[in-house]
Amino acid sequence: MNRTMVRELLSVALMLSLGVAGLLHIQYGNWRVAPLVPSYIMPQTAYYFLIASGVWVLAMLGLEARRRRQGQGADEGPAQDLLAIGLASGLMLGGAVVYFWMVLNLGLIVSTYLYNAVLIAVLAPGARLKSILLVPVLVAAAVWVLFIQMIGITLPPSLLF
Amino acid sequence: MLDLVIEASALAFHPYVLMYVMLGVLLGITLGAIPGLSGDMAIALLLPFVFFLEPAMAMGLLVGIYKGGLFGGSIAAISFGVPGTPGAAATSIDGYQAKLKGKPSKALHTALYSSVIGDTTSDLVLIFIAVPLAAVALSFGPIEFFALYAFSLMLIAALSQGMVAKGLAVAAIGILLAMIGRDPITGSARLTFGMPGLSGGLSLIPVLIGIFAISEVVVQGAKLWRRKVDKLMDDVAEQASLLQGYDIRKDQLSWVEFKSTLKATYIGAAVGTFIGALPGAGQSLAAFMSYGLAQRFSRKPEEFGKGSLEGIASAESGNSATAGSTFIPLFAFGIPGSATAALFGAAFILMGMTPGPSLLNDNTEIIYALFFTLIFANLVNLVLGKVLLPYYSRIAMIQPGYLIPAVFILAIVGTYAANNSVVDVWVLLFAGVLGVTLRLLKFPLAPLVLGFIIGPGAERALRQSMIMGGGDWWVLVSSPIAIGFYVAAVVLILLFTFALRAKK
Repeated sequence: MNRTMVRELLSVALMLSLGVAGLLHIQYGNWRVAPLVPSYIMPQTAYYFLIASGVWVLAMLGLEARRRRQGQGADEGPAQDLLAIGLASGLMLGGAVVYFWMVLNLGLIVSTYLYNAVLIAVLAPGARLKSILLVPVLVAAAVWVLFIQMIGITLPPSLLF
Repeated sequence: MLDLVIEASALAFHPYVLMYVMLGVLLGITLGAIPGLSGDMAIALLLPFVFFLEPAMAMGLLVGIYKGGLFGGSIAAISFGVPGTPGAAATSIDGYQAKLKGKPSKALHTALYSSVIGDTTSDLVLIFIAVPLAAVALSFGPIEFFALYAFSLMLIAALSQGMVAKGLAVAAIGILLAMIGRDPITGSARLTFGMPGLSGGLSLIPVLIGIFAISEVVVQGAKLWRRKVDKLMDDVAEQASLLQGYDIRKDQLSWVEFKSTLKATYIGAAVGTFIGALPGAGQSLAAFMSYGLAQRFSRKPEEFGKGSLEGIASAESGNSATAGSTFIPLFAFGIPGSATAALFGAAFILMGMTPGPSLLNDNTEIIYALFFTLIFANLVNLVLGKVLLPYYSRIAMIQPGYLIPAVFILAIVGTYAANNSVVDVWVLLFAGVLGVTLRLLKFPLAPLVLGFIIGPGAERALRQSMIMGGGDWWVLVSSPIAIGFYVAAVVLILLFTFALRAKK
């Protein structure tokens, strides 16, 4: 099975599971009854659309598989590097959770400096130590001017600054 | 009327507003020129700052970014063959070939002039069409409005990347996200899964920034991590060597050459304006359709694809001509027809203005000021583009590895700053994960945003219609206008499906 097929099957699984889970939630969940127009009318319509779309994509996949067997299939496009995106998501989004926790507890400037330095070290190919240490100073200063001085956001009292 | 024009122009031409327009154009061209970063992303990132600016200034900044970003995308497309924005993909066909033939300056100037002409045409159509259309929309009832919402959702789902089923599914996900929170009729909590932080619903800013900016930044981060940039930089160095011995004096766009591109520019302006007004059709489709039509009507069709200035003009004009008309459905009916219009719709909401037919009536002065700003921003785009063109192609060589972390941090702190809300930051990261997943699975993102923004309005219209019809679903097709919308949706979807197949 090629990558495109796997991707489309994953899409179908996402659409069908979300649609079915939603309908089960409407059936067995605690929804307030309202005359003529229950509050689940719009979500229910959306779930039906999700299921119908999933079935549609599945049918298209069946047709495509048949066409491939008959030798008329299109060439596959470039493969996505799931590992790279998984790692980047982990580093950036997981790191963002840690960063925001640090903003609330350590302080905006220190956290911004540290997180920016880590990201540059990982993401900028061939970055020199001088850049890794100096660029975050500029970013942290810009964040401080923009958010603390100009906008005046309120943050809880933190350990550092 | 004269009083209104005077008041609106005083607002639009206030020195601070002009300054924000210029800043916006500068930012837009700069970001648009860097592959991977787009005007839409910049608009999403700046939404939290809209709170802290006067409406005319905020609109000036956003309009400037939008227009600058449209032209900026063509700089990377012509200089490196890498479209800075999806809309510039058609420009890269002839633009990059022209550059390889030693005509980068002619190519860039053609792109700039055709972009400004296309954009201005589209703005004028918006100005003269939005007001009468909004007057018509005021007579719509819930049945007609629900049909209009359904029409827009169907069209945007069908035309986004040509994947109808996935477009509809992702629009449904957008509607479901909009349903989180309190039911507007019964007041009970829906889809909050027992989390009190969600009972107020999801805020626009974290959802939009998460879906557009965070997911894009993560995907770009992944590409960087694989050191693809090294290859891009090698390509850039290789291309730079092609220009050894290049003489800019021989590469000036002459009046005769400019005149020869005008027919293609007008074709692009007309096609782009029409396509831009349709929900979901987008810049990329407009550019490619303009390019195809211009080739058909050209005296030298064989030169297309080999560095033709007409090819560049048609694609760039078609791309930019969507800029004004994409706001027609937003102003007239409150329906954002594109991701950019959705972002502007969000900005209106944040400034306390409701997009739709009443927008013009309730905020006449500011909307007319916006019309002036749209035209003025084109002028700024022309002047700044012309003056800074020699420097802009170097911008595309800035290492994204230094920019992406800063953009990511701005997104997080900016989201928090909008409402001083920790919940918003978690929603942002959740929307980022959702955006990355959908990008990986090749779902189009624009229908999700449209679904999220028009979800509450569509639900209100549906429930009011159902109450009027006593719970009978047939009430939805009881109005001739509503039937007209459903028929138009089917016809347009079929028409564009065939057009897209022909293009392939």
